[in-house]
Amino acid sequence: MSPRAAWRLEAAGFGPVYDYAAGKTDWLAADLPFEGSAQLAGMFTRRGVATVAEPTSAAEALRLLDRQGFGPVLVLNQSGVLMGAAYRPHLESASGQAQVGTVMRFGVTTVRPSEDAAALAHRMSHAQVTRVVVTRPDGTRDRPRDHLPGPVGALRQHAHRRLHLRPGRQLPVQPGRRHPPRPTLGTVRILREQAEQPRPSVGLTGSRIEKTAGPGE
Amino acid sequence: MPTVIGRDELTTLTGQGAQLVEVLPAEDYAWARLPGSVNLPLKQLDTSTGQLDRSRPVIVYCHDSL
Repeated sequence: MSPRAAWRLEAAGFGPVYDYAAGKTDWLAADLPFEGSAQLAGMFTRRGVATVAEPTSAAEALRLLDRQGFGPVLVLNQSGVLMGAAYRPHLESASGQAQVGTVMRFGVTTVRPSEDAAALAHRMSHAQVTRVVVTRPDGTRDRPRDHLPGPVGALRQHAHRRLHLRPGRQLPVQPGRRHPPRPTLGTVRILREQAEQPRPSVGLTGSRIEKTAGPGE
Repeated sequence: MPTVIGRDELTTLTGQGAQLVEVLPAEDYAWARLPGSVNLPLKQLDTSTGQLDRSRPVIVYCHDSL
């Protein structure tokens, strides 16, 4: 659609005319500021999740985990690509000098910040996943998101559970300015809802999704 | 001939005063749009270009390249 528009505008005498061919999909997946009514996963992502390099000791990772107050610790390679996640039980049972790369869970699933939040929450509920790691698409500094299995049995789907989206914060709108590189955006967690709470109009069942971690918070 | 650009070029050009135009329908624009963009749906493009400044570069975008 945009190529046709670009040619049409040029033919009408405008110039120069540029075509941002990757479009809105690319922009939103990059976790960049936007305007509008969309409720995307990036808005519910808590920033500042603890990250370590693969050679980091288990003891150091555990210290970071304790300081952060939530887990797991995400393990990045030298290029900032998310390689896996280290959970408290793994870290506690490992030798303090063991490298995190040897005790991490490899190959966590990722999601993008541009995912529709309600649809993501629905999928997470179905998969019985309570927490998801958000990264930018290229898995490096430009936008990845991964989802991590939560504590065993932390989320079970029941008919009386409700999905309730609780928005975090809108991303600041700063035209013309990019966010600084963030290899990993953070995590999104699904929590079980109280049975007596009213069913929301979105009509999805399951859990609520809320922000759990993120940079600068 | 229109030039295809990426995110970095877009940021640079808008910083230099380029106009950003979303050519998707109004509902898509209301859902999510790039900051500072205006909405000129493709089907109404010929009749709505009066909103644009002919002295400044124009960047158009839609959902993606598909």
